[in-house]
Amino acid sequence: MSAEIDADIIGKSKERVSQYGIVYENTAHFSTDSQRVSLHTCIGPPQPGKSINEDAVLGVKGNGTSAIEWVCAIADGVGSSLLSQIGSRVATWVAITSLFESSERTSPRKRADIAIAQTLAAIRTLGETLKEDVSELRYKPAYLPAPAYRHIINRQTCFQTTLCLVWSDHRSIFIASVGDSGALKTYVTVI
Amino acid sequence: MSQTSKRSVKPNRQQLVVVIGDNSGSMRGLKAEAATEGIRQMIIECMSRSGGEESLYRVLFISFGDRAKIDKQCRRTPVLEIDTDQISLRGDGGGTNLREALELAHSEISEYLDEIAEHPQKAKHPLPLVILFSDGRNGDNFGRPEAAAEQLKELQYDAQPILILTAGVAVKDSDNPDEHTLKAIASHYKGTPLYVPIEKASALSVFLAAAGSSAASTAGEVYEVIKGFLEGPSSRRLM
Repeated sequence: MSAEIDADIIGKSKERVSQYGIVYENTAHFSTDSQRVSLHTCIGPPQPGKSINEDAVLGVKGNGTSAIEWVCAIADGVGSSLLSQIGSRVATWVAITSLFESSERTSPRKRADIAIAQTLAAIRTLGETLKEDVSELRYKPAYLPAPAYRHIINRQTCFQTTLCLVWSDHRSIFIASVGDSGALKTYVTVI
Repeated sequence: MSQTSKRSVKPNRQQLVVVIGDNSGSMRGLKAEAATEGIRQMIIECMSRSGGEESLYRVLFISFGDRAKIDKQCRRTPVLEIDTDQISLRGDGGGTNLREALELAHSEISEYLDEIAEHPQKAKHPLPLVILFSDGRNGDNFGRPEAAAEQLKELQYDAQPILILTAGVAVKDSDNPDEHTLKAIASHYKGTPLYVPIEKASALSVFLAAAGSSAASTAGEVYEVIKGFLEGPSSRRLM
């Protein structure tokens, strides 16, 4: 049931990103002229009550229509946060879409800023949708009692995730990180 | 309480929260309503902190008047299985039998500690947290509670005594909580009893919700919860 809340955002992102290259989600290996890229996410060691992987990873190998050779987004959904598996997946799709669509004349730092801002806006939209769900409970997970669901929505502790965006423009590799996967917001240029 | 414990409690391990609530006649009205709301909010907060389908808290709720009894919804029950609407404290229990409440808590917590005694990672398991509140004095006819309190405080897990936090509720001139006894029942942190005076009914609700869902597992952490409450906007001093 909760999977539907992100259908619109991810559907539109898929459509737009596919213009720029081949899309890989969760597990993939691909190569460019000079680099090999691997991505993988899994649920990890068994834990009582844990049946979903809250993390998401997405990669795109560019097709030449953009200066971006390849890009990966990794999002670590917060285990204790409601619907963080949705937040992390939306974060990867929206951030990569934004990166491809921002002007190539903009600095890498600015492009990362825009991607992160648009990701936050998308997650905020999800939050607004959830706020309207306190009576209908369409997105309430079956295991969670309604009062607790409403409490979480009112407290707005849903969809929480980190985001790490890595991309190459043939000459440099750029990293933008938000959350506890590194500094609060860090940009690093390698080479 | 040892201040030099090498324990490293994991946030994804289940904690038993024990609420021992005064249901004597003097609690009737605003105080009982605030206590009910506080316990419900505490459980909802604990539910919302659960990791996926796993309850990270179990709740045991003992109410006491002339007799101590366990709430049907909260028998060391995982929070996600509790129907909060069914929980209530009415202030219809008669007198104040602290001794029996403490003995019942001792029996229940002993059973729980036996259940987790063989846990392979004891140092990562949170200690049970007991929260006791009362607005009165132990009835003379029920026997003194001190011995039962001492037995409860002797319960240990991973060589650490369980944690007991007490609150004296005095919102009306006629309320007369036995602070001396409540402080004696409480665990101590650096010589200070983990005791909170409550002077507003609404503050009782806020206190129960905050303390019960705090996941505090050392006396120092409980002390910080008390400090945060007393310094916060909901405390007795600022309301």
